[in-house]
Amino acid sequence: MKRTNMKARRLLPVLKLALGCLFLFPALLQSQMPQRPGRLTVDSTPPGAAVTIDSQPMSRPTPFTFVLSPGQHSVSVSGKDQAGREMRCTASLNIVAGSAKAVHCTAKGWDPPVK
Amino acid sequence: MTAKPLTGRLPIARLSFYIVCVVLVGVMWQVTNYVNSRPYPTAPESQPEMDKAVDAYENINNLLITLGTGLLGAMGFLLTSKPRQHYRLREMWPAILSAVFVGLSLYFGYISYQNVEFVLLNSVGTLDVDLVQLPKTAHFYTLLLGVFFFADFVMQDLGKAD
Repeated sequence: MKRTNMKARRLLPVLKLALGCLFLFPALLQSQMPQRPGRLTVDSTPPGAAVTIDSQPMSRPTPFTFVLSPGQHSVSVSGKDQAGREMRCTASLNIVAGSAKAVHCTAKGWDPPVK
Repeated sequence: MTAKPLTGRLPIARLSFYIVCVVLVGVMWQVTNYVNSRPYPTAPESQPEMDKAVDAYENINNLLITLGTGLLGAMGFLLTSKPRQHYRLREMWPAILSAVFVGLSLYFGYISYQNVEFVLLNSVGTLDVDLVQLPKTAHFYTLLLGVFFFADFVMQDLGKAD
């Protein structure tokens, strides 16, 4: 029992130091802060098409600039063109932190094509 | 027979306290990382709507933080108002859990506030994102758990006084 207590007494300062580091460092780490968002402008011809991002219907039709977290997002635009035909464009876009991107949907697909 | 005061326990008890603290901080680190990496697509709201949302958020955040700090103060008062009365560890559990949950509530309050600041600085345009909503919800429910365990401790303490 005495030996265990001695070991515990020796370990205490180490644990206190580890706890102090754990408390202080997260605030300085980039992973503990949200990354800057990117902007995506979605337009269509004709305007007024519905936009869905990550299977989530957006409250604003085209043209509109959406704010997205960095990473991969699936973007879908659907509506009707001037002749009344179905218009649908779908793409998976990589949004980089702090960047701005623009896509334009027509009856023939993305214009210019989205890579 | 009087219970042994908690402060005079073996170093092994103090060691377990620090181990629990390190584990707790590690878990919170991971939780914060998870919250801050949640994806969000948003359609920014108009400025007046955003201002109202931020006002409502600030009011509830201030209220919960005041309640949390008040609860910690009340707990401290209860524990120190009877200096001769020593609590056994099993009687202290509700008080310990209450303090832990209130501490977590204050932490989540800070994280949600930090993320609201992030939303405003980066013109995300809405508070309806997981970055804000997850810590905001955790802020409220951890405080609720803290109140529950505090009430349990007070009931037990009152019963003891009788």
